[in-house]
Amino acid sequence: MKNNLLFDFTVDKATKTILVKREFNAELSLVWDAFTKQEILDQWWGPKPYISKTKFMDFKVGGRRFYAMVSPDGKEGWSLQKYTSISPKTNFKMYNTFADKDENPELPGSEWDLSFSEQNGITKVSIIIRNESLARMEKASEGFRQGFTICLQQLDELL
Amino acid sequence: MKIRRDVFQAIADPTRRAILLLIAAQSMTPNAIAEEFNTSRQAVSKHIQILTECELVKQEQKGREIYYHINANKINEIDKWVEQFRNSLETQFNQLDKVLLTIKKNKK
Repeated sequence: MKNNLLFDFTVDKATKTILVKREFNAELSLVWDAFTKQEILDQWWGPKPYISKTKFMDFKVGGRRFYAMVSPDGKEGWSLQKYTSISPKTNFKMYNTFADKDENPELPGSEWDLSFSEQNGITKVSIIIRNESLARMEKASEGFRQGFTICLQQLDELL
Repeated sequence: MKIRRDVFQAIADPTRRAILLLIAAQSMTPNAIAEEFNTSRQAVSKHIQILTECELVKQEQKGREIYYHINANKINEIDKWVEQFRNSLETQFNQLDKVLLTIKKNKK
């Protein structure tokens, strides 16, 4: 399916974050539901060929979603999302980590900040992702800044 | 995934970053590297070992000496990780487009 909806993905060097903007051809309340209701989330959250399988989801501040990305051969990779802030149909924040099958998080994780807005029937979702590994990576890249030209150019393009 | 996290751990340490910086300019023997630091040779050797285990640093035998140099391919893994993440999100959102369309159709 081809469309002209915005998809913007940038890595912000100054704040050590990944910024994602995406428009959807649907009203805000529907897009909000798609991000916050288990039965809709599981229909799209797993990038093919993976399937998202939510074991439980408690969408409230302090609540968690425990889910697996299931590979075609049935292997389950578990993740935990903890909701840290919710402003209905406007914004929610969560802390995302990999986990084992017994709900133990594997740190470090990433902070997700998702904002929703609608204009002329198009809903824009803006996501700020702060990844602790990415922050460390940026720190390290400062060390490469001299004499490491080839790789540095690639890091610069990236960050 | 585990290997990638190890790379991040390896570069999180200031001494190890300094070592990478040193050998980025030219490959060096363990003794030459150790001379650049005030810490013990054993400590520097341990740092080099971690960097080698994470494949950020490669060793090469030249005559009787071992030389360490940067493994550029490994640094590019960070680049790859971000690219994979971007592709994965794009796939997810394209799937969401279809789900939204289906829900809208069913409502009518």
